[in-house]
Order: sequence, then C-alpha cells, then structure tokens
Amino acid sequence: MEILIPSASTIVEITQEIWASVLEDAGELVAEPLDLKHPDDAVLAFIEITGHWQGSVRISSSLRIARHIAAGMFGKSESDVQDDELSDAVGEFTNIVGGNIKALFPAPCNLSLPGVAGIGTFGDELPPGFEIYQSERLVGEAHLSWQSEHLVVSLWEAANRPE
Amino acid sequence: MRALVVDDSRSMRAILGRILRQLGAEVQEACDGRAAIDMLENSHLPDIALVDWHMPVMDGLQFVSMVRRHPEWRSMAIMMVSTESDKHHIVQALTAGANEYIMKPFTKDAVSEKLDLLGIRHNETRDISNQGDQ
Repeated sequence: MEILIPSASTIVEITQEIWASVLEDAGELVAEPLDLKHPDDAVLAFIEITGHWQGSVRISSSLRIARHIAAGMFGKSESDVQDDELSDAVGEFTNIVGGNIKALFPAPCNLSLPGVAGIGTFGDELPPGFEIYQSERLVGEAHLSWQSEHLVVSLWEAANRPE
Repeated sequence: MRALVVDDSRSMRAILGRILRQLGAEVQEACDGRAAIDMLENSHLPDIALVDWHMPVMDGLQFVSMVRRHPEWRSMAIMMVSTESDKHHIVQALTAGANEYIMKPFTKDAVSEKLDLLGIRHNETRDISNQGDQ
C-alpha cells in the first residue's frame, strides 16, 4: 500500500487550526519558508505513531511560543505560566497535532502519549531519553511563526524500530 | 449540570473545564480513569463524564467499560474526548458504552451541541432540545 506523506501545507493548515481552536487570544500563526532557523531556546516535544505508518511528529518551538501556548490553554498570562504547565501544554498541543496528522494515514494507526524534552538548544542532536528516535528520517516539515517567534512541526519516519 | 473531566493533561482539563463552566456546569476533574472511579465511588454521580482516551494508569476505554459494569452509574452519560478519529476507535468507544464522541480540537459550540444531543441541559441549550418540556 502506498502511503502518502502529508505535505508541508497540510501540516501548516492542521497546526494553524489547532492553534486557533485551543488557545485563548491565539494571535496569527503564519506559514514561513522552510529555511527558517530552528529556535535557539527550543522546547522539543514528540509523539509516536505506530501501525500502518510508523514514525513520530515533533514540535520544536521557541520558549516564548511555548509560554504563549501554555498561557492560552490555561487561560492565564504568559508571565504566570509555571514550568510544569508549560510542559503539559506543549505536550497536549503536540498530542492534538499528532492525532490530526495520524488521521491522514491509513488506519489502524495508534498514538503514544506525548513526551516533552527540557528546554535547550538541541540542533540535530536528540535530548537524553529520546535516542529511540535517532534512526528516523525527516519526511515532512512545516515552519510557522507568531510575533517573529518560531515553531517547527516535523514528521519523521521510522526505519526499523524495534517493537 | 454536573460534569466530570477525566484527562491526564492539566491544560486540556483547564480548556474543557472553562468551556463547561461557561455552559453552567459544576466541574470536577480527575487525572486518569482510576482517579475518576475513586471520585464516582465517593461523591455525587455527575450528569456526564468527558473522558480522554490515552491516559496512564487507567485509560479512557477501560474507564468506560468499568463504569458501564456498575449498575448505579448507568445514568451517567459519557463523552469520549480524543484525538483518535478513525472509525475503528469510535466504534470501539461506543461499543464499550460511550454515548458520544468528540474530536480534539473542539470548540465550545461543538461541546454545546453534543450536550444537546445527549439531552443534558446547560446555559446554551438550544430551543429544539426544549421541545417536549412542559
């Protein structure tokens, strides 16, 4: 069975819809060219898809965007967001984006619980605890921004992940 | 209306709780199915439980099955709230005993419409659901 990988524009549309739906006072999340620099102070979140298609959805955002997501979901100001709330909100945002991307693959596919890595500059390296994703290859990516802050949603296909 | 929100994500509980309170509900929260069962055993039965699928300890499907085996809890409506959107998952949840299913992301209007479909009255209950009320 040929499996179509969602295009960058589809990933953008999904992310924008979720952004507008779940955040209070969301503001506009705009699509950006794919050469956008990854955020330096990134918050990195993962969710795994298994089944007919296997891989992961990763969201890398600047700390400011992560705070904005948490503030919008918890209904409070960015300055009042606690670290555990930031992690929870980014994880749930990733869960919803991942679930909506998963829906584009042929069923059955399953979704894992989301994982959120600590704040850091990850570049091409994966943070400790996420090495299982090392063998995946990038197959789709969307770059977006809100108030000049960056958010990257990427889709990674597993090679032969051990069960 | 009394509602129980069961989700391991605090942020999702905050979103659902905010919407339900705007609709006039008194809201309780539980972080997984097991905690929700403990709440049902120790407090008034809510009119509805809104339940996430993927949770640690006890997931949403296990929670629905356990609730439906308990005769005293049968009157409580259950709405699954999930990112799982394929037919297989929806059928599985409804077969286990869920009454409604709503996909994340959702809007306040979508939650309101689902409550109407379940016959649960709230602040924004539409006139059509009042037909037959005297």
